[in-house]
Amino acid sequence: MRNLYIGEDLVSDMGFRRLNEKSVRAKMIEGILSLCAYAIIILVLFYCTSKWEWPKWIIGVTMCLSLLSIPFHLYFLPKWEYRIWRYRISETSIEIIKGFLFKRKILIPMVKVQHVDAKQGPILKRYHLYTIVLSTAAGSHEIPGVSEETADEIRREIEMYARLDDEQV
Amino acid sequence: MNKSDKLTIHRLHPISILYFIIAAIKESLSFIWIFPLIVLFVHEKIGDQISTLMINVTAGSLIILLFLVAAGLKWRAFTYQIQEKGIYIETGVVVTKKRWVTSDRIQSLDSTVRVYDHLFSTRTLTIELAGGKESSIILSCISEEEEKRIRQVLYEYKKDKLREHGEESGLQLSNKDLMVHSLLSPKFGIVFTFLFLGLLKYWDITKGEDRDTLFTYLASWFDSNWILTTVILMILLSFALSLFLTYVSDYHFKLDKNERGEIEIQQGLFEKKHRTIAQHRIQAIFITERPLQRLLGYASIEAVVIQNSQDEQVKKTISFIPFVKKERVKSLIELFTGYEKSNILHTPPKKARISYVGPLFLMGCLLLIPLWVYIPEPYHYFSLIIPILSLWLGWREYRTTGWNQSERFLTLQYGIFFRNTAIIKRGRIQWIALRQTWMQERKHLASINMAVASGKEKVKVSLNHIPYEEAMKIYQCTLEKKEEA
Repeated sequence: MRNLYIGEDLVSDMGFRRLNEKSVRAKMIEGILSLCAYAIIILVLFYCTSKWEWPKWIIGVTMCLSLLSIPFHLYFLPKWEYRIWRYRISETSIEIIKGFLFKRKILIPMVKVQHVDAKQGPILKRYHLYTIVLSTAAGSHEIPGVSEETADEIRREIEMYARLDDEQV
Repeated sequence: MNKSDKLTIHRLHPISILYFIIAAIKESLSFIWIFPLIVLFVHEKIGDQISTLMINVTAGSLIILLFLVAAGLKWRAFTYQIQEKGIYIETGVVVTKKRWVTSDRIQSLDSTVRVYDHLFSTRTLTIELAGGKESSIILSCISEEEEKRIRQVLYEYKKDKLREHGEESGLQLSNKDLMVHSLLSPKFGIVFTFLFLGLLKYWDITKGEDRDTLFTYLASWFDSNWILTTVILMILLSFALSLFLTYVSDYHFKLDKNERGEIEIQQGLFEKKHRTIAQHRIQAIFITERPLQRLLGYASIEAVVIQNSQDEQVKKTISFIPFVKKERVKSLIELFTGYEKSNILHTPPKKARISYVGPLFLMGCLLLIPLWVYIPEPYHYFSLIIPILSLWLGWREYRTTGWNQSERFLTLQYGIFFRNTAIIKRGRIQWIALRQTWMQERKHLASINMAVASGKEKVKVSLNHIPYEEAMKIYQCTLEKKEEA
């Protein structure tokens, strides 16, 4: 039996593209920032515990969870994201594959794409990467971490395909 | 209607100043904090000379005057002309805005009779246009004849085609329908619960005191079995209230198809709403069967319609038929919208049972632990119901789930307490997502999510734990329509 799960489908179907390799680094930096946020939360909790004698298990559990999440934030999640994330732009549709525990494969018919945005935060800017946002009349989907040239290319492609048919919403 | 009549400049009924005041108040709500600030400031400065009340009254009346003047000016500046092929509108006090709208750009003409409109026999006409911000024009408070005239002129232009739809086959809800509807609707339960809680609270407050309370009166009136009588009275009262609420929203409900094939819906007691929906704006049809309704064989139908209105009150779906016998659902939908409901649905395979029941059961068991620990000895046996209940819920979902992809329509059935049926036309799905957990991967199952557009937000529908091949079929069918065309 073929096509039994999303992952297998991805191997059998060619034409899927990966994200930019540099997005792993960008994701790691994002991970560091999240860890900093955790650290601040832990400090606040520490203050609360000493000042108002909050139960100790709150800070204990929070610290354990944060410590456990360090390898995930710094290594596994960025790696996995890069390994799993795929996208494909064809004449008729845009497809995105993502998720490790919950695999998701999203299909957006080309005619439904209303507009395409490319956005860039400070971290992505360092690596010259963009996040592409595809908006439909019912919400939007993102392709995070593609290079500037690819972003332009995607935009042009979608523009070209979208012009082919003039179906309404 | 002669030409000069069409070209004269019209103003709205003076009562629409009221509408403009309300609109102005709504707009300025975000500045409301300035008012106490001003009062405070004035109080600081000259508070020792004038009383606070005086300042408040002066400031308040000044603001009311401001609103009045602003609304009056707005009303004066608002003019419209109905012309041969469209409508010309001039608005704005400071910045004058001129809009010229041709009638082929008009998506729908909806009229609402608000409470105060009854007094002056006026109505509000909303002209909805295709696309963009500010895509609706609101003519507040125009007379009935004027509304008819506008409808006529704006539609005359389009009227060249169609007219052959002779058979008027509208649907109306009778008083009896409304009564059963309100009894079965959740309104009844909600009203009853509120009354009951209120009474309990009242009991709680007055319990310790010696003075005559409502309960002592009740006991003296109805003698020994006054509790039973009170409960019956409460049921009657909540029934009356829910009936009233149902009447307010659905009184004189009338569904019609006009000669252009558009659907016209009229409803309401105080606020009469008249809505026109063009066929091509319908994105999906939802049929909901609530538990009680289902038992007695009734259902309600809603439609997801593309709307442009930025109004906060606009709901995601429009109530298409609030209450109807189940047998008629299929034929009514086909008659009015051309949507076809599949009678034969695929059901999830037996191996999917565990996927429906398992996670819910696990959650029920997890919830059981704290309950078991915290609830004292004899009572905590009651919490054993929770895992059993979760098992039953999972089973219900398994039994409800069904789907069918036909040539033109996708029918999905899902839900736990309610049985929902969604009918989506092919090519209306905005995006579709296939999901798989490792459990599902092992069992060759998958879940699908899809979204259709409505005015404000997306409407999402999902189907869980169906065979991967079937999910893939639905997934790929999203696209196929284009190749046919």
